[in-house]
Amino acid sequence: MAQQTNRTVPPREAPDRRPPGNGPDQAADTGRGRGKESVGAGSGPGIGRGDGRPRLSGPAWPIVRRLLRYMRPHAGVLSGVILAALATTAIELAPPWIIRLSVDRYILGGQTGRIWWAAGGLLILSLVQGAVDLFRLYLTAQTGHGIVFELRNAVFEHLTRLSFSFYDRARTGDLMARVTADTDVLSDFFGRAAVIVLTNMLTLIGILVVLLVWDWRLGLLYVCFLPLIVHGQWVYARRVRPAMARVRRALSGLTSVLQESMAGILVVKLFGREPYQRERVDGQSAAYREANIGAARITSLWMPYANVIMGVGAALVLWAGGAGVIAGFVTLGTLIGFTTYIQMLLRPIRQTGMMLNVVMRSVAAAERVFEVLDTQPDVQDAPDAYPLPAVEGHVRYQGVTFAYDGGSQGAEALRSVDLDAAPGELVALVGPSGAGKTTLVHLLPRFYDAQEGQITIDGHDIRRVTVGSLRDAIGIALQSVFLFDASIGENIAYGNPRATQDQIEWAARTTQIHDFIRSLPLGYGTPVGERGVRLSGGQKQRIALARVLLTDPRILILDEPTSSVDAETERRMQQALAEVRAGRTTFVIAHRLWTVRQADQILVLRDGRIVERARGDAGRSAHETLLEQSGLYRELHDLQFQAEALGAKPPAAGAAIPAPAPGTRRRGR
Amino acid sequence: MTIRGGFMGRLQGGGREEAYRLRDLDRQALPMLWRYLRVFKSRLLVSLLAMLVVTATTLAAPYLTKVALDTYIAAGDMRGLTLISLLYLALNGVYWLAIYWQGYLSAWVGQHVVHAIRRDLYAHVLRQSMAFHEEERVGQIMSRLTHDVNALADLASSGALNLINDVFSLLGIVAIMALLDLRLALVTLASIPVVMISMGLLGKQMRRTYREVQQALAEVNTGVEQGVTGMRVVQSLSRESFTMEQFQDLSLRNLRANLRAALLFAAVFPTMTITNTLGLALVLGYGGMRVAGGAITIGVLLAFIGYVHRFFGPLRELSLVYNAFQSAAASLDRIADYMGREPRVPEPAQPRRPEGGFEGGIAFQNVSFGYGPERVLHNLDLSVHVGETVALVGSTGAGKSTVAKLLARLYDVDEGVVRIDGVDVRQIASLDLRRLITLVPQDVFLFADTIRENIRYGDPHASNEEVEAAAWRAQAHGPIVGLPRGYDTAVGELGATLSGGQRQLIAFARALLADPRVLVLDEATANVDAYTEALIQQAMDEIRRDRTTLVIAHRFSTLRRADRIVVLEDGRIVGQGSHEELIASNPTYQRLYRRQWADARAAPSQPR
Repeated sequence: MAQQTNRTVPPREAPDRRPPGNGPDQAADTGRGRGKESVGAGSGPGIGRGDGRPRLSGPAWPIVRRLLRYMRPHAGVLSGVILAALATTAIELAPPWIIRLSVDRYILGGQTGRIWWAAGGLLILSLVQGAVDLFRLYLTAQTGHGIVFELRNAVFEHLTRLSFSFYDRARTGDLMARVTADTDVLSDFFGRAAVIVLTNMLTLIGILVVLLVWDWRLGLLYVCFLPLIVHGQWVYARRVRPAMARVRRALSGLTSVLQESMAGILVVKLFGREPYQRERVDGQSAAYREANIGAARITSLWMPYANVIMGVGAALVLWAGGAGVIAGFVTLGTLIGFTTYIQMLLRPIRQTGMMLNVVMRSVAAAERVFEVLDTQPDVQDAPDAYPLPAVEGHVRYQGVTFAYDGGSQGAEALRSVDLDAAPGELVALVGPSGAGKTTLVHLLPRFYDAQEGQITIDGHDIRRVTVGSLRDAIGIALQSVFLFDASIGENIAYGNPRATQDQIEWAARTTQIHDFIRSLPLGYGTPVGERGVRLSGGQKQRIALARVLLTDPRILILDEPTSSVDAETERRMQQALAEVRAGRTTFVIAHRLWTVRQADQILVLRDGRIVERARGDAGRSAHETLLEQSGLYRELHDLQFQAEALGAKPPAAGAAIPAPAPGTRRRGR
Repeated sequence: MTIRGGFMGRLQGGGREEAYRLRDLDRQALPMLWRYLRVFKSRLLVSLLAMLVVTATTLAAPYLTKVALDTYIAAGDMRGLTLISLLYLALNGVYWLAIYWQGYLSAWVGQHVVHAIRRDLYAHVLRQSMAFHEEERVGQIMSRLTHDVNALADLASSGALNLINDVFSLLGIVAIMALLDLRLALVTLASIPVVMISMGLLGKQMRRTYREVQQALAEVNTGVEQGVTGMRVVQSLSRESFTMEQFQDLSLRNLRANLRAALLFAAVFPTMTITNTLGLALVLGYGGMRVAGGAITIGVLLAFIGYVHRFFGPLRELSLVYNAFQSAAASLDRIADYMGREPRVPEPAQPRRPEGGFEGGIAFQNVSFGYGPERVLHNLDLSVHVGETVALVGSTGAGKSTVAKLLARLYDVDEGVVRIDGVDVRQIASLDLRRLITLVPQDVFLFADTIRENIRYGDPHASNEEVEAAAWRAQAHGPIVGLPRGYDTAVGELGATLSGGQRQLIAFARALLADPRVLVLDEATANVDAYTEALIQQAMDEIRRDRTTLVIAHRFSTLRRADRIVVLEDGRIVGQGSHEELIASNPTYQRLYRRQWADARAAPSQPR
């Protein structure tokens, strides 16, 4: 009959051990959402396609073996734990034995004086067992968390080594899930599952042995039921897993619809699309509801099943054992002891089922974690790499060809690019978006490695020097600005932790952000980010630029450094930057052509090629030379001028540029 | 498999509500919950009955064993023993049936209640004004719509049933024990305080520790997020080892929290074993003595052993029940808080619309407004004729965007009135107003969907042809078909795959598809390449055709096209007219012009 657990609880979709449901977590959830899979799912390694659902693409055993390898250094502690487990299993088997003894010998046998001794013995044994359990459970958990700590750090460290191409494909939410949630699942594996499975097996075997020794007929009766229970657990596990997966999928569908409508609430309101959003949420929420009910149905049916089978067993034992007592070949104590043992059986069986589930989940999680660990960084130090010595800043590209997905024909982002930048020169890169300007400058600090050609700095092939020393020599202001959740001052000093306050302020002044920072109540200590001050795009851009200037690089790369800055500030920044630039080789990418007029050298890119180039000389600037060529540079220049000047003329007389007909490719122009 | 709501779940769950007291619960909250539950009264009742059957069958088992032992086995009555064993067997069938229906029905009710609450809560959140959405963080709203609503459902269905179940089981066991043998029952019950106190203390500690673990894990999560999103910066500045150290710090804090929790968890299991055994030892010792003394039969002793086993589960649950209810009540309170908030931009009771429909004439009359106590607009008067294009200019913080937001009624004015075709916007039905006015904000938001669906958002009934026609008119068609998958290109996370200019053009197409009488455009300040810039200017011509257009202008070319330029400074209109008029006479405009456009205008013409 039903034992201690007479309730079923609807299965919960989310593991209990998760961070509180705020920003990062939700991001993780939606990031892993099935609905978005198509978006970021590139080719290449599976990072980015992940959806958090237990998924076994290969046999589980090699992964389990790899997991067990992590336990090897802790073999000493673990063998102690196993010994302790053996001890507690033995103790656990004692109470029914004591009860049987008390019933047969002391209570019915008349040795009443020993009854309290037996009861006291029970209690003492349980105290001993409790102490050993405390010790072994803690040690196991400690080992498990320790392993996970090391593993998590290793994964993160590996992430710092993976190159840009990895981050182009990976999705933040997915990686977050792998580093935190998935490794956290593994702490269950290391900290509980392995040991619990083992001790439960021992308990089961122990009970069976005792039962068979006591009375082999009753014992055998009992053995018959074990396969049924195991079968029930198996059926349950097999059915509930897909049901739970459905619940999780439905939840992530629901969260992403909710998340998006909240993030885009302005658009929802502006177009009056509340009814549509309500309908979508209603649909997703109903799907989630149905998935939950479906899972609850399976759980309600199969969770009590083991109880029921145990109950049937108990009924049969009562009947057969009772018959044995009547016939005189079974003692009363044996019968009572039997029923007590039966009650003890349920927990190990249950737990083993649960733990097998933990193991399966761990395998899925480990697979995702190992996938990260096994991703080879594209850009690594050569075995004989040497640190780049102090350089003048003479940069040369020779026949550089590069494609993002590893070099399929026709998809090159850069084709046979040659360039030569003398120390201290200002090189401007110009061209329509998608022409390859950013790609070109990203090759210099080895964010990517070119497939063909060679890049040198003062004659040092950048592949022969260490990546760290190379990047120390180069300061790059990336196109997309990122600030850390730290104070403004810490953000500026990020690249140069030894910078003094004076230096930090110098950098901020140069990028025209110092006055703004001083106007804040906390000044340079003002935190940035969700809890901090809300900065405009231009302000962030200037802080990020200050960060680069503070590293005092020989080579400076500015990728649209002023795109979000208003014209007036931009002008002041340019004056200040002109001073900073002195003596440094500088590459600048800018859409506004008037910002490149003073460049020593201008390279015009289209479709990954340099199609025009000019170098200023004493008589004429590069800008002037290119304007006279009437090429792409001239075209871009006129377009921009016309766009600004359009209003001056009556807007009739047709458009300044013909609208592209459907089907024409923009870049083909 | 993670099952929450059981014993361990109560130890772990909802740690952050620790400070919450049950008596803090809003009086309105419980009736609100009951309104949702009431609909499913009959199912709840059946579920409750099923649960009582489960309790009864569970409690009957040890008693049957006792009867079998004392009445039939002792008397050697084989027939009776067979009968009682069959009864025992049958009880198992009843148990299975009852527990299935109880579990299934309570989940069914719980999930339906969750769904209903979530639906209503979401609708209510949607009705809130932008002021609400700017104050509340997205994560917080999400947490209420998912976590809190789920927690509440647990309380409403299985949680409450389990509580009733626990109480009934305990009362039943105590009653049966007392009937079997009062003295033994009293001795056995002496172990209750030990269980309650030890579990209560442990539970409290565990919840605190569990919260620490969650916080530490959340910090690790944030650390990873920072690391991953900022990895390009980290690598470009060669700060990998520094980032690694920072992460290890967080990771170590998480480890320490985990170890503290592990110690407590390690204590729970032994405590359970020891308290169980304490009860068993009392039964065996005292009960054994009474059997030996002939006061009770051996069957009673066996039944007691069975009941002691069943006794501690419910007792442990009850000792933690306050915690469970505390966290559910906190969730309920947060939901009731949202539900209780009246939208600050209410729907008119009797909406008005002019005869013959709206045409799009705008009038701001003596309008004053502030987001907080500080005024942003002061006694503003502005009228725009049907079909006119007006450009708003002014430095940052002059109140340009506020004018746009008031017109679209994202906020309501503090003083004065905004009228469209003579009708106060507060008296226009919101769906009418949305058809009438479209605002294209500066920061373009695109949904994580295809470009086609993003444009179609302007008019859900539009055909593919209409979507493309709108894109064509907005000059977005060329750039879109230039993408590898054309209109079916998915807009990536935060639109990462599209440039700012392209996003702007798609937003134009979306607005054109909606085809409003009044268009309000907040021009993007971000730099776009020359080609896209030209496209945007072309699109502007198409956009403003046949409609009233209000543009917050950042581009000089926009100013030149406007029928009228309105200059704002510190929330007041300081001048209006054409570019020529203003440049001649208005000092604010002159200053703005010098700062923003003169340089840009002058530069490209220089070499000519």
